[in-house]
Formats: sequence, structure tokens, C-alpha cells
Amino acid sequence: MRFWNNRPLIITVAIIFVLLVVLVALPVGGRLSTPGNVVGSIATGTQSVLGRFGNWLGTFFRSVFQADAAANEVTELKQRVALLEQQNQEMNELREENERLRQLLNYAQNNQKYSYITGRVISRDPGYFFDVFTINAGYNDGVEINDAVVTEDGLVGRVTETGGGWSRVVALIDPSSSVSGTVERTRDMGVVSGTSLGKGTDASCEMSFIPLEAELVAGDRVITNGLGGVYPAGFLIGTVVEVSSTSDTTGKTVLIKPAVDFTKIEEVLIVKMTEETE
Amino acid sequence: MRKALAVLLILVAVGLDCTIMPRIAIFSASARLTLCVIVAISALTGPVNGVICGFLAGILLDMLFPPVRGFYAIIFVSIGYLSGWLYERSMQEGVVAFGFFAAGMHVAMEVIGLVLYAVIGFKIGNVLIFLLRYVLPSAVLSGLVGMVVFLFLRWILSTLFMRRGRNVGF
Repeated sequence: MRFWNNRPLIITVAIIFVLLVVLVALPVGGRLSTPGNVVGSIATGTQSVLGRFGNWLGTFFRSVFQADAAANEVTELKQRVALLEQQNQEMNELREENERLRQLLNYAQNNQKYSYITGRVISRDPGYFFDVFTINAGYNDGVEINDAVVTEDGLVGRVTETGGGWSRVVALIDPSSSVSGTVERTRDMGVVSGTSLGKGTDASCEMSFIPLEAELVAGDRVITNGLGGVYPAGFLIGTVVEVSSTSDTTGKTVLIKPAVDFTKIEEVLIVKMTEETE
Repeated sequence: MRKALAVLLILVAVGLDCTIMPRIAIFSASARLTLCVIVAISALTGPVNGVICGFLAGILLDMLFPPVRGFYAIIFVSIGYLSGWLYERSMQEGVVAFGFFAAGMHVAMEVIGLVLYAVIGFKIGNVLIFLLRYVLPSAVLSGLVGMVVFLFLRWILSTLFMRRGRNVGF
């Protein structure tokens, strides 16, 4: 009877009994029974909250005691990001340059009738009235006055001045420039000259002194014919975009879209005659 | 010292105009830094200084590029004088007003160039398209760049030279 009179002992035994029931109800694996589930949920929730609090507390203390280190790390990471971005940009530039040079090389290899000197455009006339630019190859590299300048797309212009490591090139679309050309399909000849105010438009050149009976159509290709001795024959000048209906006694005039995009020239080839072509 | 600074500014402007500015053109329109510097100098220090700076910049560009020598010298000397003369009479001293002024001077520069171009004997195409497609967008950009140049130049003149109790100007 002493047992039933001892209330603390009864409560202790009851709690132990309840805990045993709960433990028995908890399976080893698989889906939990309801009491096990309730206990598990409570335990997990509490652990989760406590875990988060612990993490927060840890982070807080780390940030308090390691603020300088974290700030340094952030600065270092920012510097690395900036460096990597710069390197990425340089790589992209190099890839594009590589592609352009590969095209120029292909062009030079496919046209071995002449020898070529490579040059890079370093500055250009900032105005709209003339189209003159400077390249980084001069007489030290073998460049001479009146050498023709081309890209893989076609004729660019000619060298008008040279220095030791630079040359000045007057573009085909400059108003002071003129070149003798032939329409590839009909073999009609004329003089192609620049109209610089149309820079960047479809018709920055015009071909005049074409025979009146010539039957040209838009899309006809115009190439150099070698007359005059400055520009070698066979280089693409451009395509006919508009055949004017008016013509005077000196012949027809047509508008030509140059093969080269003069707003985007970066590398060029200077054409040198070989013994065979001279 | 001030003359050296003016020469340095002109050299830098011409250098940037020939190398960087054509590469950052927006639809073939680009600001003319040389013009902005000349107009700012002329507006802040008077037409005589504008003429001298315009001549220097023009001769430099003439030596560097065009097949017609003296072309840019004539244009920039005219702009140097015109901008100083007009700015003295405009009574506008704000930065925004200067932006509009620089844009106007850009248009004036292209018009003077167009006239010279015709006088030399080169064929002029469609002037209206030329003005609308190239000149106006470039003038807007020059106006914006001109405001920055104006502020920079005014700051330099006031901080570097006014402390010594000397007049502003080159």
C-alpha cells in the first residue's frame, strides 16, 4: 500500500510507462505510427529551430570576430572577379582578332599571285568629308607609295604616304580616290570614284564613263582591271546598286556599294607585286 | 603654364578623336572632342584664344589626314572665332546652355566643311540626308560631351589659376 501512497513514485512510474509506450510505438524504419510521428515532428521542429539559431549565432559571432577577414575576402573576391572579367574580355578580343587574321591569311594563301604585308588600322580621319586612315606598317616593312590595300572582302584603297612604321591610306570611298574598274559580267569599263558624304551608306562610290550601250543591272560585280598601274587587276571593288536612267555624252553612271565595310576595318593587307606579276 | 595646358588639351582631344572616338560611334555618329575643347576654350577665354587653339588643332589634323591641306585649319579657326564671339553675346553661362551651344557649333562646323568641300570641287550628294543622318546625331553627342569638357575646363581654370589671383583664361 505504501506504493499507492507515494505520489512522486506513481508519477515517475507513469512517465516511464508513457515513454516506454512511445518507444515501443516507434518503428525502426519506414512510415511512423501516429505517436512516433508526433514526437518526431516535435523533435525535428525543435532541432531545426535550434539548429538555425545555432547557425545564426555562429555566423553572428564569426562576423563579429572575423569582420576584417570577411571584408578582406570580399575585396579579394571582387578583385578576382574584375580580373577574370578583364581576362574574359581580352580573350574575346583575341578570339575575334584571331578569326579576322585567319580570314586574311586564307585570302593571302588563296591569292598567291601577290605577296602581302599585314597592317593594323591605328587611327582615322574623324570627319565625314574624307576617308583617310593610318596603318602600323611603313617602309621598314616594305610598304611603298601607291601600294594597293585590300581585305578579304575586297579593295580598300592605296597608300599615299609612308613613314618608318606607319603608312597613310586613302580609302576607295574618299572623293580624291579613283580606280579603273570593269563590270565582271559585261566586261564594260569605267572609273570608280568615292562620294565620301555617303560614308556608311549603300552607295558610297559611283562608276562613271561607262559606255552608253552597256546593259548593267543591280548586283553586277565590279572588279579592278589593272589600268593605270596602281591597282592590280582582279580585286573586287563592289556591286552595282543603282543604274541611273540619266546619262550624258561621256557615258553612263552607276552607284556602287563597296565590298568592304569601311566603318569596321581593323586589319588590312598591303599588296606587293611579285617578280611574276611585275 | 596655361598655354601649355591648352596645347596639351588640344593634343589629347585630337589624339582621342582619331583613335577612340570613331570606334565608339553610334550608328556612324560620334562626338567631336576637338570641337568641344575649342568651343569651350573659346567660350571661357574669348575668341582670340579660340582662333589660336582652332588653328593648332586644324593644322594637326591637316598634317595627319586629309588629302586637302588646310581644310580642317580653316574650319576650326572659323569655329574658334565664331564660338567665342557668339558666346560673349549670348549671355548664357549654364552648363546645359553650353551643351546646346556646342551642338550648334557642331552643325556650324559641318556646314562650313560642306561649303569648303563644294568650293574645292568635290561632288556633294544629298545634303539633307547628310545633315539628318550624320550631322544632327553627332551634334547631340557633341553637346553632351561638350558639357563635360566645359565643366572640366571651368574647374581647371578656377582651381589651378584663380588661386594665384590671376585672371581666368589662357
